[in-house]
This record gives sequence, C-alpha cells and structure tokens, in this order.
Amino acid sequence: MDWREIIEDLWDDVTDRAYYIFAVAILILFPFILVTPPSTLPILNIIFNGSRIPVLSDIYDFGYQSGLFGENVWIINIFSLCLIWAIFAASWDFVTGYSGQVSFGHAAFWGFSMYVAYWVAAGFHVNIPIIDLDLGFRVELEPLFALIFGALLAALLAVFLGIISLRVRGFYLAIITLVIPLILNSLANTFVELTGGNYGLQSDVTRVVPLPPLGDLFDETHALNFYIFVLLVFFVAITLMMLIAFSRVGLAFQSIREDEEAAESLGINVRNYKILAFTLSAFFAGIAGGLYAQWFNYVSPTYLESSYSFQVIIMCVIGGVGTITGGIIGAFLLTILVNVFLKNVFRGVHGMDMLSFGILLIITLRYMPYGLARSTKDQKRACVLGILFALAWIIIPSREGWGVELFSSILPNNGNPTDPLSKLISISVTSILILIGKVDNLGQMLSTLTLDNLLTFIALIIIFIFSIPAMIIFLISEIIGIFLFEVIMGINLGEALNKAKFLICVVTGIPFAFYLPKIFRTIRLRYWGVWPSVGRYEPD
Amino acid sequence: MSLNTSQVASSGPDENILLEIKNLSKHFEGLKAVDQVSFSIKPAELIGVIGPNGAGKTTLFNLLTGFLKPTAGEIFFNGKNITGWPPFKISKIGIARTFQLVRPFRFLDALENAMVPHIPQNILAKSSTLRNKAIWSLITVDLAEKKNYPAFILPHGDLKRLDIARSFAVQPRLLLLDEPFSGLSYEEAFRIQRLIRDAHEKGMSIVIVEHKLKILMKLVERVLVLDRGRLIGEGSPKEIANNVEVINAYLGTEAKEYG
Repeated sequence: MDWREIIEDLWDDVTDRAYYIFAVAILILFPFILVTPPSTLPILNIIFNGSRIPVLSDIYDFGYQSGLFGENVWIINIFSLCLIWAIFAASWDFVTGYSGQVSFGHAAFWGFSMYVAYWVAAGFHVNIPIIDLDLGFRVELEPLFALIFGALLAALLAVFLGIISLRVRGFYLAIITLVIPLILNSLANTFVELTGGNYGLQSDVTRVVPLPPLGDLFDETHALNFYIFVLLVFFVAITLMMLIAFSRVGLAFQSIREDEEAAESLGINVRNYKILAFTLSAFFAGIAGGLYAQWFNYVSPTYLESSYSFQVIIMCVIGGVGTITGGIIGAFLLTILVNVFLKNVFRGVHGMDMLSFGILLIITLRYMPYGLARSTKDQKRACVLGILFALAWIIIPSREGWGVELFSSILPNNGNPTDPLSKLISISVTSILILIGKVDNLGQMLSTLTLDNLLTFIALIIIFIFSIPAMIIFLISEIIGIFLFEVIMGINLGEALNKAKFLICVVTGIPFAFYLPKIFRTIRLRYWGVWPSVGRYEPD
Repeated sequence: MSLNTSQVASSGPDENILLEIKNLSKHFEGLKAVDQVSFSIKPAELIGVIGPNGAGKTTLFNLLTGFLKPTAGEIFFNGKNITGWPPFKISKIGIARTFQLVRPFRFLDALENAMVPHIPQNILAKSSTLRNKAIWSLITVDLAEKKNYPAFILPHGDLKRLDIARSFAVQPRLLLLDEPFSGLSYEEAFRIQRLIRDAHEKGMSIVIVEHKLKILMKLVERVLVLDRGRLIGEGSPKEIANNVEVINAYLGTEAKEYG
C-alpha cells in the first residue's frame, strides 16, 4: 500500500471536518426544533422571531402528537449532560492524550471544583484569627463567577499536585493520581460541617441558570436556558483547548508524550510543560465539574469516586486518545448509550452500563485501537451510518408491536411486546439473564424486553465491529426477516407499510453519510479554490 | 586590532577551548562507567570517540548533556561551569545531541518533528516563522518532500537524517552524534557524512561516537579512545592506528587498515 493512502486514511481531516460541522449545526439548531425560545433570551428571539424553526419543528410536532417522540425536556437535558461529559473527557484527553501523563484521578479536580464553587456561591466565611483580632472576611460571588473560581482553584490544586507527583512517570504516576480523589473523598466525608458529609450540599442560591417562578426543574424554558448556557461554555472551553492543543505549546506537549528525553535534549523544559498541561486540564475538568453540579444542583462526595475517573477514560479511549474531538465523540456516544438506550432496553437490570462500556472498550481496542476519531474512513462512515440507523429506528416505530420502543418509558402506552417472535426472544434472553443472575424481577423483564430493543443493541455492536458492507447485509437481512415474520405470523399489512418508512430513512441516510465529505470537498473547492490537503498543513 | 583581541582573550574565557572536561567520573554502585576522564575540545573541531562496547562512550554523552549527573569532576562549556545543569538548559547554551537509536516523535509528522527544537527559541514568534524555520531545517537534510509524513512510516535512513536535522535546529556550537552511521547503507552513510562535513565547515564542533571505523577514521581530525571508562589514547587517526595500547584494547590486528 502506498504511504500516501495510509496517511489519507489515518489523517483525513476533511472527512472529519464535514462531520464535525454537521454535528455542530445539529447541536445549535436542535433545541429550537423542540422548544420555543424563551423570552429570557432576546437575541434568539430576534433571530427566530419568537417562534421555532418552521419546517423541522412541524415535523417534530407531528412526531410528538403521534407518539413517536418523547418529551422535549428529557431530550434536552440528556444533551446538556452529553456536553458536560464532553468537556470533562476533552480535559482528560488534554493531559493524557496530548502530554502523555496518565491521570487515573481526574474526578479529583471536578469534585474539588464543585465544592469550591458551591461554597463561594453560597457565601463562605474565611477565618483568620490572629491573637485577638479577627481578620476574617466573607467571600461571595455570583454563581457564574463562582464556577470559574472553582475551576481556578482546581487548577491551583493541580499545580501543587503536579509539582509533587510529576517527578514520576507512567505506572507510578497512574497510582499517585488514582489516590488523589480517594484522599479528597475521605476528607469530604470527614469535614461534615463544611461538606455536608454523605448527604451532600444543596441550595437554589447557587444556580447559574435561575429556576422559573414556579420552581419546576423540568420546565421547558429552564431546560432550554440551561442547555444554551452549557452549549456556550462548551464551545468556549473546547475552542480554548483546541487552540492550545494546535499551538506550539500543544506541539511541545505532544513531543513530551512521544519521547520525553528526546524532547528535553531539544531544549523543551519537560517539567514545566507537564505541570502546565496538568493545570490547564484541571481547569477545564473543574469547569465540567461545576456544570455537572449545576445540572443536579447537588454536591456530594460520590462525585469524587473513581468510577467517574474511569468513565471519562473509557469515553476518551473509545473516541480516540490524543485528539480533543475523540473525547467529545466518546462522551456523546456513551452518555446517549446509557441514558437513552440502556435505560430503556435493559430496564430492571443493574450494572448494564458498565458491562456495555466494557464490551465497547474491548471491541474498540481490537478493531480501531486509535479510537473513532483516528479510525479509517470506512470505519468512520460505518459509525455515522450506525448513528443514522439508530436514529431512524427511534423515529419510525409505532406505539405498539413493532418498533424499538426506546421512548416507551415516557409514552402513555407503556409498550409490551405483542408479536410472538418478540415474546419468544424476550423469554429466551430472560432465561439466560436469570442463569447469569442479572435479573431482579422476572415479570418486569418479560414485559420490557422486545425483539427490536435487542436487535438495536446487537446492531450497535455490529456497527462498531465491522464496516459498511457487513452493516448493509445485516440491515437488509433483518428487514427481509421481519417482513417474512410479518407474513408468517399473519400480522396486518398496515404495520408492514409502516416499516417501509424505516427503509426509506436508511436508504436516504446511506448516501448522505457517504457523500457528505464529498459534497463538502466540492463546496470548498468552488468557494475557497483550494484542494484540501493531506495532513494538517496546506501545501505551499 | 591585534592588541584588542589579545585583551579580550585574556579577560574572557579561553577562546581556543570550547569544552573542557576535568577529571570527570561516573560510578554506578562500584562500576566505573567513566573514570577520571579529562580532555578539551576546540571550536570547529571534528572528533571521533571510539572504544569497545561498555567503554563509557554513551555515558560520557549523557554526562555532557545533563541526562546523568557526574559522581566527580567538572564540565566547562565556553568558560561556564555546566556541571549538573538540566538537559534543556544545556541544550539552550549550545550543546545538541542525537541518540544511539533513532528517537523521532513517532506520531508527529516530519515537519512537526522539526518544529519542536525551534519552539523554545521562538516561543513568541509568528507561527509562519516557526514553520519556515522547520521547513529550512528539513531542506538541509533533503526531507522537505516528506514533511507531511508521520514519522512512524519513515524509513530508518530518513529518521537518522531527521534526528540530525532536529539537533541542527538547536543551533549548537557543539554537536554530539551517537552512532550516526549505524544500520545505514553506504549511500545513506555518505549522505550523513556530507551533512557532518558541511556543518563542520560552518564552524560547528562535532563529536562522533561510532563503530564503523572505516568511515570514521577518514572523517575526523582527532580520535579519543575509551576503554573501561578511562581515556587510553588521544591523537590523529594515524597515531591511534599505531598506538599499541589501543590496538590491544580495541582495534586488534586489523588496525593498519584504518591508518
């Protein structure tokens, strides 16, 4: 194989850019499809003239009334959560992917920042008793500034810890960083008057995005306001991280990751650069932590547990270590996987999220060891296809019988499997799960596990393993299979016609996913007049 | 004029000596890797360091570039005592090195590899300046065509030249090359020889550790011979080829070929 082909496959930034631009457009437009922009955001009111985006929102309304979509607030909140995790994952990637210093304890910074932001926002009295004088003073900041202040203090903690711990490398550094959140956790459990102990801290005073007058957390306006706030913070944080990562400082970080001694022999001050990377990373992790606490409006020692550190590592590894975008992709994939799919597909089964994380991690490491963002063109396309495929599956299903019923938990008619095959499969799968000892409630399992739930889950895994041809074969065989069963079981033809919609979605989705980069190239050639180059630098 | 220069020479550091090593020793728990070595290097001198395996050649380089701290002895560069300085500081003062095995930044492309040594000097410069400098240092080693290729797909010969390009980019007054010809064909070795000669003509002092004596003896002006950490011989290639102690320790009966 020619070198140039290998590089084009690995470092095809143009294909990436096309998908990224598409994703950013969705992120910005998506809430306005769902909800009317609230009057608290005048700029958006001017842009959209106080209404929702015309055609798209009509489609959404149609879907909602016919029971295809879930509640708006729920989806918006899930997306807010995705964005927060994305910032956290990107911050981890910054220190480990870019400068190669393995951190297994990133939860320390995000948890620490949560507490600091809470204290400062709620008003914190600093006592400095010197003999008879009390030189204490009270710190109280606006919630937004408290958020930034918390992140800054997390960065300060990172400087301190960095000076101590960054003398060691690799394995030993991993152990030291693993211990830091554990120490903070036990401290938080010890100083109960400050931290509230296990019960945590909670107050509406500390909210950056204030609650509406009725105090309803699941108010559309509140959810949308919070989403927009998080989106803005996300864009600022990611832009900053990208700017640093692509600058000469980022290049120095990368050289340290690749070969510390060679970098030092070329005049790079390795120790200072390491501490700088650690500090910047902790700052952004602190921002993510503050936002996460805002999302739940709750601070507790559980956020300092190592499961948070590991979750963020898994996200980055699946997305691709050493690329800021990889962490973001991984965060979105896993957060949606857990909150949308798993919570509906495997209701009543505990620990399914970590199990699926594990499976995904193994598959990723086997078939695309550099992660999604650094995978080959075919794999990237297969993933985009898979996401479209899953979306189509969500959009098309009817209320009962056929369909994934991913939103069945929030639909009025809590979907039970009606067709015989679904029942058969659900019984067999349930019996397997009982054998493994994973099920608490047999009845619950039987009522929730449907054929298509399971097929979606399998499809998602297959999409991760194989590239497009395997996926298309899987799709076609599945559609044919379902049609055949429809005929054999004698279910009415109207249902089958309903499925045609799904086919149409996939058929339009495939060329879209395939040709998006090509369209992007063409547009770029026409309006910029340059051929996109291979690699990160334009030819002279 | 002559009066002026003599005054400067007497007041400042000795201009005829670039690097001076006094009784340098490095002991690893009883093993004397480098033992009481003293020598000096003049500006624009081309020196070879030879010796059997384990003679302390690489340890000597590590001591000079700060990767190891000497047990005893002192290193003076340009009149400054640089004993115990960290490697990045030594690199800034003007000593560059390459490693025995090629050590590129594997996941960066050739251009980025060449940009890294320019970063400390141009931390506030325009990014185009930095890039142009990196491209220039690639041009000097004939790698400009492959600037967008990630280092992990470049062949060994290209990586050797990339290493040398990076060390040139530090703009050193003294360059330490650790086995620059190892694993190369004669053509590739000749290319690197030419690079070394060019740099030497521009006034750079170069120290080469090498086992390929046929190439080395024709290239260098002066040879230092190390054995078990001690300096056992010093002189021009001809003198070394006839030195009995060196023949016994390293060169063997084939010594006349190198003379």
